[in-house]
Amino acid sequence: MAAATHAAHAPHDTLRIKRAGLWLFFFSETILFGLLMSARFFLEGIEREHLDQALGVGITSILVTSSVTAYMAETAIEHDRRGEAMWWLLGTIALGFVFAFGVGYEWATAEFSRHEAFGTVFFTMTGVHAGHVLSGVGLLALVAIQLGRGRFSSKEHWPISGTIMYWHFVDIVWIFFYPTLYLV
Amino acid sequence: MGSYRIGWIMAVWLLVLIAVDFSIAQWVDHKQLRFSLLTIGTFAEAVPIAYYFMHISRVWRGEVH
Repeated sequence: MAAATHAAHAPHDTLRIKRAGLWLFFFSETILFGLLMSARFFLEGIEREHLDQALGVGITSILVTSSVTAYMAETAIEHDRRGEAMWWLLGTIALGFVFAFGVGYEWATAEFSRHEAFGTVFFTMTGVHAGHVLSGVGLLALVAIQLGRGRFSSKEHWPISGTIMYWHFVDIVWIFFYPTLYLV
Repeated sequence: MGSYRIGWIMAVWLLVLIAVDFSIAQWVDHKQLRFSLLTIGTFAEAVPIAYYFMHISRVWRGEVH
């Protein structure tokens, strides 16, 4: 009886362990990004450098919107709406690409060089973050392919949920980076 | 349908706060005040994402079915 009870609860417990593990990963990543922010404030204080403000607010709005579309994708699969989930996922991927293109444009038009203190932290912070964005796009594409092959349902969709949580984390990092680099 | 509504409400909330942050950066000249207001604005965006989008409470409460 006890074994049967344990077996019935095992998938649920496994999911909790996966979720806790993902949050531990986020914690370790937070240390990395937090140290990068510390370096920026140590080198520049709360002085603002000249950056393209319109581009900054534009790409920030795009990345935040992609978090909403990612959430909608997760909500759709929780309701067994695979087709809808696919469209939200594809929208999220497209917005991720637009954000990465915007960062690339900022790099190409920046009025400072990587040899300056601010340039060093700017290119490091945005580069490490853009790397996370592109890896997130890759992961979203993988789960979209699996979704297209008929995997996932309202009862079994952890790969989608985990990937989307990662996407939200990358979004939160930028929510801190944006004012740190553009607005302060 | 409640989940979808949360998504749309969050979209409006986040985009409004981005606009507020941008306005603070343009109009507030006092550096310390600007830094403080932007810090508050940043957490006002990040915390709801962690709670509503990343379901952080499921770490200690478990899954909701």
